[in-house]
Amino acid sequence: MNDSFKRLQSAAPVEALTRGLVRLVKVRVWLAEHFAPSEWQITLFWAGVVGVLGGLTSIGFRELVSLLHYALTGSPAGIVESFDQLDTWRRLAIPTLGGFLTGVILLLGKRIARGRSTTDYMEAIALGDGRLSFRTSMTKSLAALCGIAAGASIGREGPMVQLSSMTASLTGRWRKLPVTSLRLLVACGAAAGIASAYNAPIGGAFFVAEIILGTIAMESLGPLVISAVAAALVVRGLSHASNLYQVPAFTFNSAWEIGPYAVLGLVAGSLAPLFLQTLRYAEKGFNRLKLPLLAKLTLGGAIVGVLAIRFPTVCGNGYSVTLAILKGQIVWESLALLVVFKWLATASSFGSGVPGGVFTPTLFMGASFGYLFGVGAHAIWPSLDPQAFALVGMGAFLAAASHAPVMAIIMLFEMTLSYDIILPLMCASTVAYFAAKSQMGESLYAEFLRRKAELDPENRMPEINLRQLVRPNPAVVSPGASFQEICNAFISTRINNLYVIDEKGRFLGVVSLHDIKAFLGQPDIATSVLATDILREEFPTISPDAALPDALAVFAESPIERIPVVAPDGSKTLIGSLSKNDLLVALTDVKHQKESRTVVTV
Amino acid sequence: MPSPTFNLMPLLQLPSLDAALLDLQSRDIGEVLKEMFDEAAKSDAMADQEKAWADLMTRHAAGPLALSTDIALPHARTAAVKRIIFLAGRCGAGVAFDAQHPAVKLVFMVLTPKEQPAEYLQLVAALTARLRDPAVRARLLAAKNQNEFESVLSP
Repeated sequence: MNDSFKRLQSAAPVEALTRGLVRLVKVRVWLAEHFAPSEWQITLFWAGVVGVLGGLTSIGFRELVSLLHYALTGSPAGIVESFDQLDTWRRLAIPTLGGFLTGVILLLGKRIARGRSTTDYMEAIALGDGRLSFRTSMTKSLAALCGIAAGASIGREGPMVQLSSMTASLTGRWRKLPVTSLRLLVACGAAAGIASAYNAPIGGAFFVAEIILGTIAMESLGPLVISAVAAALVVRGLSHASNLYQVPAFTFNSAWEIGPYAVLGLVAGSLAPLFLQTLRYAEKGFNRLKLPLLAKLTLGGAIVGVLAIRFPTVCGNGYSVTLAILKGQIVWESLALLVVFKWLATASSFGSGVPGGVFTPTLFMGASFGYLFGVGAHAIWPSLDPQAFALVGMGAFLAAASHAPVMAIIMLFEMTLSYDIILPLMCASTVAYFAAKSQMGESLYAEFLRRKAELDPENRMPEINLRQLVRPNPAVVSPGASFQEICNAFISTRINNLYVIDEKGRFLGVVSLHDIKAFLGQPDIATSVLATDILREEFPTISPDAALPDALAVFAESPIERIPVVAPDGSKTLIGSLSKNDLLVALTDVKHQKESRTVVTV
Repeated sequence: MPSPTFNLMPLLQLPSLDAALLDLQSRDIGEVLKEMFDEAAKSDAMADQEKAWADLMTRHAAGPLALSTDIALPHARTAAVKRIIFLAGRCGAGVAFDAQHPAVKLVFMVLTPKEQPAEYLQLVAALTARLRDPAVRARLLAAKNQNEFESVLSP
């Protein structure tokens, strides 16, 4: 240490500088060789960051709901429990007030929202360019916060996913990611939101992969998984969360018992589309009233309030009631009544326009119908357990409503951690999926996206082309750049090939880190070797008008991570660079686009 | 002596010289280059003399070619050679190279095939490492014949 310090002091300033520089380059090369962060690792890193942020926003949202709920009701307990303790007029007043506040926030939000921007995460990923407006997302989430805290019969996972996706979109825009990567990052945010809302990382990753991206290719599933895992870790670390639905063990007594479960699948497959249709009718009905937004939401809140006077359990997303059903704490007669009122309450909350999700209400419906079906089955076949039917019903209903049976099976398994139900669950979910599909061509989510696309055809994502994937301003040097300048460029950017362009911006070739790394320790050549001396001219290039598969062919031929994109006019003017990672993600998207277009036209 | 921490060079092996002109006749850098290039042109590795000369001149115009006050390294990467052509020239009286290098005594000419940037770098690195030692330079200037010159250059 002392020696090197003395040497540094005694050396001429320029030489000391050069040595310092060389040392830096050597560290960079060592890091590149030993840790070599490829495009994939960088993507996974940001997916992890987005996951952590998603976990934090979800916890934040949940805490805010509890806080506001406490402020409104004076009770720190869950929504159903506190409504149970409220007197009649408050049961009516609080949801009405919640509807009113939701309306006020949405109205204020309309004033501050500027220009056309995507407001929904699903839209931003599947149809848009991955840009989610901060203002409108915050408005929607705040409005949802008021509605949910005041007892609206709607899921809180919607705003959680929205917030998490918006954070991801902001992160991606800060990193200046191209469209496809930005959309993938927003998808990671959505997966993180679901993973943290349900403490279900596998389900979260598969929800987004199956429903929104429509693919489980590793290029997109990998980042989703990392993001979901990060979010779940944050939630578990900060809030001692466990699996959401802790259920008693079930036994599967005979192989013949699978029969009634398959029938349950059929029933759920018929009822789930009906449930979704009524939600849609409710929405149309509220719109037909031609009320101002504020009045519409207040009315929606008031309907929930009226229902809550007799049945306070209709308030909230239905989680605690579902749990009670699974534990067999509700008699079937009152459940039969409750399910009707809960259906009505969800239809008024959703129909009046409270922003929120219908995922948890769907689970409630599934559990209720499953339980009621199970009670009937139990009367005929006493060894059958109605609670097990409730559990399987949840999965079947979810598979039928979302048209995503894989996600439904995984999600149910993950939320209950009950392996006993896996066989009937798989069977019933698959049957329900096909039953629902034959009854109604599209799922809850596909329908939402189709309507969005119809309403705003211009906002539909244009066909992905290579030009959209080009990252501008790659690191470049002139052919006259000295060896030292080349080293500087390699220090400041994490690349393996430095592009050399002439004074007119034409691409001449690359200086490869691989070629020069062994000579970094030679200060003597720092000035005597120029970029032009060590230029590799035979490096592949691509035109921004090339087809995506052609670009893939270039990557297949040489083991490089990025290729320079040059003007198609023959001048070889450098436009930017194309990364292999962005291309693979885009190709996966293209495949999905084609598939979803087929669905839309059906 | 270079600091031990900077010993990243894997191989300080110089290729053998194609020719050593120990008594350059020219007294002008342009003529020196021509004189040495004519010798290089005799190599079986030379594919296109005109192109190689043009590339050498282009590179000569582009930037510094002197290693120190008394050593010059004219070089070019060119598609006109089949392998690296490496020549040495000596001019005891010194040739004016440019304003900063009024008396260049040793000239090393390198013509490299385009696709061998790493080999070229290795040659330059090895050469500069060898010539850094003043004793080596003195012995090169004093060498009586090509064999001696070559043995001093790559012992």
